[in-house]
Amino acid sequence: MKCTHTIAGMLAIVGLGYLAGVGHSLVRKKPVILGPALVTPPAPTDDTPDTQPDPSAEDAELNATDSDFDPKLDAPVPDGMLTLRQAFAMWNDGAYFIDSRHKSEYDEGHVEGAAHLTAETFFTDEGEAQMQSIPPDAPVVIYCLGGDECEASKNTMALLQQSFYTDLHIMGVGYDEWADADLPTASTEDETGDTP
Amino acid sequence: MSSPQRSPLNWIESVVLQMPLRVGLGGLFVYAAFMKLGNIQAFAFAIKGFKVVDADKHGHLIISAAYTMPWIEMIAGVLLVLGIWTRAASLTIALMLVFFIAALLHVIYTPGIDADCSCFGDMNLVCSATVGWCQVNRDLVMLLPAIYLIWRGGGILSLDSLFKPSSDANSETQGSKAGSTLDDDGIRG
Repeated sequence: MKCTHTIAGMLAIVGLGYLAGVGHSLVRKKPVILGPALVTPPAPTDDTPDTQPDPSAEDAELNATDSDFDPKLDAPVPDGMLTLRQAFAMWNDGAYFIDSRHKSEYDEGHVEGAAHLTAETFFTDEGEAQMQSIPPDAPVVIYCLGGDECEASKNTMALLQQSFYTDLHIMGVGYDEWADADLPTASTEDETGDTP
Repeated sequence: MSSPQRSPLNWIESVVLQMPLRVGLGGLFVYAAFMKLGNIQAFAFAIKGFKVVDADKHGHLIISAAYTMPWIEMIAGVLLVLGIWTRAASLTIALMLVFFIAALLHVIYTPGIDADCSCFGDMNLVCSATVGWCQVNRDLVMLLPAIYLIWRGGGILSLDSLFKPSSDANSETQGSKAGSTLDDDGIRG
């Protein structure tokens, strides 16, 4: 019988937790979202082609830009994301960069001038301070570790969309590729003069 | 008439094992729940990152879990710390830990998933943020006291025990006429 009572108690705890969760969802002001509403197409730049490299038409793309092709800058990226060349062009144009990797990785090295903003820090004082420094209509490039999924960038993008940021882009390659291409980087220690 | 649970050995077990394990394990779960409730959105992203269910098809399940799981942790943790319904709270926590371990193993053994644990919100307790064997071992270590508490109950220094003598007395004086007693979890049966 004791076993039955224990199981009944466990079910009661789960039921109470469910009711508390439902109540919590009703009083929470912002709805929980799971991803960006849509992936913003990349901004065309003067020194880049108008369209994203399509893996299926990769050969044609390579031929078209044969003279300028750089395996690092023009590495193929998932649909709707910026190549390294496009991201660097936006960096040169003064776009805001957001690093959505872990804080320790950001402290170790990040795109020069990039702010640190992740889903974990978004609703904190640190996150709010970062967002106040970025106008909602400014071009923003978000990056993480890169790759097909790049979930951290998509999550940050979704939260920024919810906060009415409009000109959002995801860099299809990660910070390591940026650094490998000898593009401008900095560490928190460089920027603040303090050890993180 | 003294209860058999009040022997010196039971006192020692309660002081040395049951109470520290209750407070430690329950406190950890309360802390984990508090950190998750502080940022439900990040926890929802973390659940999505585990890819146990397809976020496009079953996003509502992920959002439900993001709201419900921290509250279950919170309620079970508080009950465990106080020593109310100790066995039921321990069973809840044990089942959650088994579920967490299964989810962690899913991430570890599925190629291409690079998920963050988010087990304690954005705090990294013992292990790093990225899912790995460290988190599995940590959950296995937490599973041991949960199983022990399911077996032995909350001990003398729990509120379960505080309410038990009177029910024992009732059951002893009223015998089978009452037809109901309170077990260690204080649930009338």
